[in-house]
Amino acid sequence: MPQQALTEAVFYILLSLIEPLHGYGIIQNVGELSGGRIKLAPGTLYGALNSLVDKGWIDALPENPESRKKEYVITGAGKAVLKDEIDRLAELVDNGRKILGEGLI
Amino acid sequence: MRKTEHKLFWLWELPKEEAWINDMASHGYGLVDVGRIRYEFEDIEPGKFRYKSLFLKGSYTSEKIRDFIRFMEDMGIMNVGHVSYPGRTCVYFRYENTGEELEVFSDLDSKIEYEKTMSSYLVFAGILNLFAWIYNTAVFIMNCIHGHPTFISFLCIINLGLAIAMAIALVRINRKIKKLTQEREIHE
Repeated sequence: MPQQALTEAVFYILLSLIEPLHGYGIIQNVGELSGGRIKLAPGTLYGALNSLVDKGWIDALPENPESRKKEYVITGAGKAVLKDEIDRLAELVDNGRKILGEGLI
Repeated sequence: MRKTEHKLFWLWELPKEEAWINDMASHGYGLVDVGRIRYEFEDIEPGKFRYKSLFLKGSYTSEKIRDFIRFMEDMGIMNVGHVSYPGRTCVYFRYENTGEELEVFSDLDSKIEYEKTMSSYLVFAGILNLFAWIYNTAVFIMNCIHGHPTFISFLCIINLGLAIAMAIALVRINRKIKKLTQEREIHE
């Protein structure tokens, strides 16, 4: 079955977790990556992180005794999903450019 | 200095309650504890903090809610109190006032899910209220037949009033859910 589209939030969360990050770090990183366009809200992020852990796309790292903030990192399965999504997005952009023509975009 | 206020907000009036708590904060009273109709405030610098209440699934001691509170506190959004309901908890948070209201949910799916937490609870409370109304009405009729009408008639009126208020609240929430769902068909 072809992979279903990821939400923008999930795409950027996965992309942010190439390096381990905690919740607040993810919000900041997604904000920077999207040039301030996406403001990830904490409740949405919390739900997304739990779903991604359940799917095995990210891991919650063992807690660091020095910092009580929980960190997450992408898994191999998560990277594969991210790669498929990038291919899917590239297809959309390619087709859009082909049909509308470069000059119109 | 601590200040205690008693005020009744119905469950479906959470936004109104939140606005009142924020108004108190803008006048220098910061919420530090909360009960069903009791609000404890402490002196704070006027407008330093804002408050947010969230109606969540689960009990306050459940792992799910404890974990969520910890997640929020990691971001500097501190839990100041809670009120428990059967199967649900209303959690009160305090955050630094940066001039912007805290959006807890940023995508349509999580907004819809959150609204459904309240609507399903109102349906549950409505059914309980309906049974109470049937029981109270039956007792009232029996009392009338035996010539002893009692205060139970007031309870019937209260049940009816609650039913109307809950129905109005439910219609409003469902309208909101419908709007968000329509939006979801086009956008994320």
